[in-house]
Formats: sequence, structure tokens, C-alpha cells
Amino acid sequence: MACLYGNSIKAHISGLVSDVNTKDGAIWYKIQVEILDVYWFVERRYSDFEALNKKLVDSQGIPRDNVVLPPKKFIGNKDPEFVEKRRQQLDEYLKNVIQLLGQNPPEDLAQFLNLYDFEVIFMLRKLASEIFDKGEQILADQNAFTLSPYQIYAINERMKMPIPSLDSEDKRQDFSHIVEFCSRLQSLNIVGSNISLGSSTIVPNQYSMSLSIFKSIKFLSLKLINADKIAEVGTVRQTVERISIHNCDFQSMNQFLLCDSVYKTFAESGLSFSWNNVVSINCSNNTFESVGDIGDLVPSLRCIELSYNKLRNVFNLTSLPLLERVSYSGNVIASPEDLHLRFGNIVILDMSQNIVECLQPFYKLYSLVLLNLSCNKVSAVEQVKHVSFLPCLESLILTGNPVASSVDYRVKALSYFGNRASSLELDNEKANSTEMDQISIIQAIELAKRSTVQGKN
Amino acid sequence: MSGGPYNYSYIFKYIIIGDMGVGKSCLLHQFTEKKFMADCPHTIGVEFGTRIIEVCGQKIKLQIWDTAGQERFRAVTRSYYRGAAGALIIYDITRRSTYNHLSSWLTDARNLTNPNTVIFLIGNKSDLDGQRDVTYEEAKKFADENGLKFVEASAKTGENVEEAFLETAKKIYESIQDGSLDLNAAESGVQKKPTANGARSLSADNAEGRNPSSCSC
Ligand SMILES: Nc1nc2c(ncn2[C@@H]2O[C@H](COP(=O)(O)OP(=O)(O)O)[C@@H](O)[C@H]2O)c(=O)[nH]1
Ligand SMILES: [Mg+2]
Repeated sequence: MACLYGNSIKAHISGLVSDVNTKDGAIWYKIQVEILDVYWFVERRYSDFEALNKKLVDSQGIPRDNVVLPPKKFIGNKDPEFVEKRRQQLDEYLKNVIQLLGQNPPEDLAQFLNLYDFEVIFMLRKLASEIFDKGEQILADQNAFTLSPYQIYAINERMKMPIPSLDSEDKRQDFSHIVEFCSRLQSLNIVGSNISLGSSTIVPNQYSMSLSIFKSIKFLSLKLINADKIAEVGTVRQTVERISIHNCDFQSMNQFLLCDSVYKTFAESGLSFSWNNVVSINCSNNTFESVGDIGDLVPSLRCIELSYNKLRNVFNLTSLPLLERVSYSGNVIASPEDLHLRFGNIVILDMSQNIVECLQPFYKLYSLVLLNLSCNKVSAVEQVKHVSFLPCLESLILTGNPVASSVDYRVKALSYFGNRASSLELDNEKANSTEMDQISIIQAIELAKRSTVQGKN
Repeated sequence: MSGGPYNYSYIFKYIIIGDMGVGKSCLLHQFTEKKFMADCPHTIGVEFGTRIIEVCGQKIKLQIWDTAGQERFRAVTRSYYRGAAGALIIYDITRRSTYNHLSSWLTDARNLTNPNTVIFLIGNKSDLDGQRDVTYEEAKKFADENGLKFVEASAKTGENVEEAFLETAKKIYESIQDGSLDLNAAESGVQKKPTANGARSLSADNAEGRNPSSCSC
């Protein structure tokens, strides 16, 4: 973490920016700024130094004897020897400025060194004034606000520093504004990154987060977050209602729900880690290999989205009494076990884009209204028979299965539904009158066949 | 940015101090949530609460820093005195030691806040009258001698909690009105709300600061 509290800045001009073309032919110096274990680069030209110097002369009363900017030169200022000499002089100048003002850098110096982008205290001053200006509106509109793990880490660390919440002249930069905003924010996006921030060596996902500053979160969204970097969930566990987790490296739902606990399963953790108000979890596009033992960790859950993971099985979610919508779309499920042993009374089940061949496991999902099995491997139309007795079923989707291109697919499939054939939507469409005629014929033949068989007996 | 519950004119910053266990966090919680939190976790470093109140017809947002009483957090606590417009010093009426430490808290507060900071003394846990260890009269005398406002309150029943926070705000507001508190001073602990375009406009602040309409309560 780059933080000026208790640490000092070092900066030196490490060289010239070599890609002259993009920089309109001027000489740009590459400055390496270093705080503690972190560094970053800033690119400045002579005129930037000059502008800085002017501001510092005005506001800070330099030059003192040892802090003098090398003079301007108009002709021959690109001569390599001159450039190198000037680099050394500017380096010397910079070192002197930092020695003089580096403990508590004035705004101009902080800007020159890009402290507002990377250094905790300055970064949070900038964030505070943004929040002061826009925060009330964001809260009033209940819009989401995005923070990175580095920012959240910085806020937590700042709380522990013995520095006044307002440490600049500008009251908009008061740290209180951030803490207040976080305590009232309802919708939070945390977006991580494994790539370093700008030109720095700061990798946001290396920083672990406590969410305890957030007191009112109802919607929590995590993107590209490292599973082991949520150190504390805090009150979010009680307040949050909807969660979405995408492109994170959690391997199971459990790992997320118990991310700040030493326990791995509900059996170990018990009720103290429950997320009582969560009604919906969207964990599409992760690398989940299982759901895990979630027991009563999310007792109010109604909707779970597990699409685009690496799931091979349908997991036991019978501990969720209110669950009604489930999506396993885009996984690698081939032949699930009997599904009525996996869910309670679910209403909508999306199993599209898996590799299911057989519909037998669905035959007792009596509460099901919508079953989406598009883009699976169902090839025999007889399979439809297994779901034809589901009493609430209103819509069945089989598009993109081999069966859907077989001869007379629609009429054959619908004919299994008996007198419900006319009301059922197959692939989002009810039977038209031609189809209904054909269905009646098939059903009549079936009936005839059966009575003949019975007659013979 | 008009309308809505968070339309306000000023931000006042408060700090709550006092020994550990006197009920600082509970008082804050009672004030912001109107609930007693019996099993309040120990405060590590600093905690925070906020609420909009109305004083003399003005909506005021309070930003309240709750501090940890323990010595090991003193450095963090101390840094939050600066820039506080109001300081609530709490003791526990059932524990004499917390009352005896008041002078040390008061010294800190006097030394580290600005001269305009309104300091309010609260004797908490007034619901535990049977276990009382400090009389009202004694504490009242201490408060008067030191020029502090004083009430006994209970974070549990809510008695006088609202009053203490509001009374403090009223005093602060009065010193803005009579000009003794300079809004623009960095450490005043008072701030005007953001202007519509988000830009800082000191001149507008000044113009309103000179507004002669005085507090009518
Ligand atoms: N009876 C009673 N107990 C209180 C009251 N306020 C706080 N407490 C209890 O006192 C203890 C310490 O409270 P806390 O707010 O954590 O103190 P802090 O260390 O000053 O923040 C907790 O067990 C509270 O339940 C009160 O007004 N009445
Ligand atoms: Mg506390």
C-alpha cells in the first residue's frame, strides 16, 4: 500500500520516455515515485517542472537556496549531452523539493507526482470530494457505486490512522464524507483487478477487504474478486438482499457465503453466519465446481442463478424452502439425479446449454411451470413423455436439441400432453390449428392402439 | 438536489468520547437508529454514525465519530477531536471511575478541539438509578464549573438522548448565527452542503453566513 502516513516518498528521474513519437517530439522525463513497497511512473516535461516550480514558489515560498530549477534553454535543448545533464539537474531539483515538502505534500506537488491516483490519503481526499459533490444524488436515486478492493482497503486503513478526518484546507476532502456515504450506500459494486493500477505496481486484488464500513447494503455485486480477499463481511450479511458474483475465483457458493469464517460448511458454521435477507443470488460466470453445503445460510433465497460455471451436477438445494427459480444454464450437466430430490417447489428451471439427454429426472418436479432445456442433447421425442405429467407445466423449451429437428417433432411432443396440448407452449409457441388437427389424429390413433391392446387382453 | 430526506443546509461533525463501556456506541446507535443495541461490539479505533436533524427550521446533517475508550486507541481518537463542532463526553452514572476520569477527557477536548466546539456532558445509564454511583447534583456542579451543558440520559430507554444531540446542534447553530463560529475555518467542524453544480463557492457561503435571520427557537 502506498501511504504517506509513517512513510516517506522517494522519487527519481529514471530516464527519458523513449517513445518520442506519441509525445510530439518533446523530451519527457520518466519519474519513478516510490512509497514503501509500491512505485509508479509519471511522465513530465521541462515545462511541467517549470509550472510546478512556479506554483511552489507562490504557495510554499521556495526557492530556498538549495531548491533551484535549472534554467530554461531555447536552442540545442535536445542535444543528448545537454538532455542528460538536465535530467541530472531536474532529478536533483525533485529530490530537494521532496526533502523539503515530501512529508506533507502541497496539492500541486501531489498532483505532479500523481499521488491522487495511488497514495491512500490523497486518493481518499479525491474520493471524498467526489462523494461530497455527487453522493447525495447517488443515494437519493439508489444508484450503485463502484469501488475497488484497493479503495476499500484504503478506507479501512485510513480509519485506523491517527490523522484527523479533515487533513486539508478543502472541506470537501473530509474523510467523514466517505465513511458517511459508505454507511448509507445501498448498492455497491466491487470490481477487482489482477492487473496493476495504471503505471503503478499496485495490484488491487492483493488487498484484502473488510466490508464493515457498509451499514445499509441491499445489493452487492462482486466482479473479478479474489475469494480469499474478503476478510470481513460485517453488517452486509444482515442487510443485503441481492448478491451477484461474476468472474470471481470462488469454487463454491459456500466459499463465498463463509468467506470471512474459519468454517467451510454450514454443518460447522451453524446459523451465526446466515445471510437472512438474501432473496436472490446470481453467480453466473464463475468457476464454481459445486454449490457446497449451504444449509440454512441463505434461508430466504428465492432465486439462484448458477449459469456458466463448471457444474457437472445439480446440487441439493432442498434446504432452501422458498426457492422458486433456478438456473443451471451453460454448465456441463449430463444426467442429473432425480431432481425432485434436489429442489423443493421450484417454478422455473433453466437447464439450457447443458448436455442432458434424458428427461426422466424431471418427472416429479410437480410445481414446475417453465422448463428450459434448449441446446441440450435430447434426441428422442419419447423423452417428452417424462415431463408430460407435470401438472403445472405451461412452457417447455427444447430448441437447439437434436429432437427439435426430427420429423413431426412439435406434434409428436405436444401429443403427449393429452388435453393440455392446446394450452402448452412448446418452444415459446402454442400449437396452431394445423398442428392441433395433427395432434388430435395422433392422440386418436394412440387411443385406438391402447384400446385394441386392452381389447386383446 | 432538492427535496428528499437528505436535503440539508449544514454538516456538523461530532465526536463522542469517554471511558470504555460507558455506552458511547449505544448512545450513537440509539440516536441514529432509535434502538438499543444491547450486545454492541467493542469499538476498534473509530466508528461512525449519521443522521439528519432539524434545528431552528434548518436541516442539519450530523456526522458523528464514535471513538474507542481504550488507551491503545488514544492516538486515533485524539486525531478526531480536531475539526469537531460538537464533543459529547460520556460517563456512566453507575461507575464512579468513569466520572473521575472526566477531567482528563475534558482536558483533551479543550486542548485538541477549537474554542468554539460545543462540549456536552452526558451521564449515561440513567435507567440504572438503583446502581447509581454519582449523584446528579455532583455532576451538574462539575458541568457548571466547567461551562458544560449536562444531562443524564439512557441509551437503553432513549431518555434525553435526542435532547443531548439536538441541544448540541442548536448551540452550534447559534454560534454560526451570531458569527462567533467561522464557517470557512478549516477546523470549525461545520460545512455548508454542496452547491447544485458541485462547485465550491466560498462567496455564496459568505453571503449566506451574513444572513441576519437569527435563530428563532
Ligand atoms: N442499562 C444500560 N446499559 C447500557 C446503556 N448504554 C450502554 N449500556 C451497556 O453498556 C455496555 C457498554 O456499551 P457500549 O456502547 O459498547 O460502550 P462504549 O465502550 O462506551 O462504546 C454494553 O453492555 C451496553 O449494553 C444504558 O443506557 N443503560
Ligand atoms: Mg464503543
